[in-house]
Amino acid sequence: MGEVRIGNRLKQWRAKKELTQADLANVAGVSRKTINTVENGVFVPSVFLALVLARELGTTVESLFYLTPKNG
Amino acid sequence: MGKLKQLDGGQSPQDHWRGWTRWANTAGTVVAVWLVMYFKPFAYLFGFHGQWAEISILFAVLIVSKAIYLWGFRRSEQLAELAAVKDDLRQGRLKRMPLAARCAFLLATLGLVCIGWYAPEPHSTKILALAVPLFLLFAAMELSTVLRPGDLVLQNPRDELLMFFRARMLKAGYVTAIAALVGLYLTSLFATQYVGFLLPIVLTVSLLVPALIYHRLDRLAETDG
Repeated sequence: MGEVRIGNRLKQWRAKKELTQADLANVAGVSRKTINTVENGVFVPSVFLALVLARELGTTVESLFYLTPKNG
Repeated sequence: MGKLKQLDGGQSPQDHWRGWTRWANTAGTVVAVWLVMYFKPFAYLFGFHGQWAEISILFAVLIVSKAIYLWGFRRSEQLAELAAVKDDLRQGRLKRMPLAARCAFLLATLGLVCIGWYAPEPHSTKILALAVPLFLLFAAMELSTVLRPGDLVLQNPRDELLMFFRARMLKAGYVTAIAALVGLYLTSLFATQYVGFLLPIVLTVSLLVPALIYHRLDRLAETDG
């Protein structure tokens, strides 16, 4: 397996649900900065937080997060 | 967004007054320590001799007199203030001292320690007696920030981002401390007389590097992608 990183569609799903970063942070029980860094790819959340985010956005973890080539 | 605006909002006049009172108290205590160290009133009164005896008695007197004053004259205000602080803690409104202020205090007390190290006797002992406890106090404060990073006094234990920041800060602090120890070891081999002077500097650097790493990561977390 070549070098891969974790990409995400959190921003798109959040926009689809018409939620601000602060709204999503509130319901997920984390800070707005956490949501921002996850969206920017600076921080990869734990499985627990990924499941919470997927639940709050009404989707699955697989549709929120995906593997992508590192240089892609 | 409303909650964030509330958290970032300005200080109330009460907070402002409380802040100034705290500063006045600290300044008063520092002045009292200097006065006691130069005039040695307790040596004349009780026959205890030595800088540490003077300072220990002064702090005991200050703590007891403050407790009596608060209990006797400001009990209701004090209880209300305590309830307000508890509420601020619960609501996440109580913020830590900013990095710039922490750095300024730590570096200022480090400067005092360095001056005390090279000052001629009897000034050296007097300066070190005041500077070392203050320096260790600010170093302990900085260490608590490394172990529990974040802007708030009471953190959300479920906030994974802060745990991520902490891991980065500990890594940076560990690497800096190891490099500094190697430097100290080499200094001890070739110039032993500088080791005592360099120790507080090394401690400060090992504490400030993780703090600066946190500051950079926090700024990065604020920036939209």
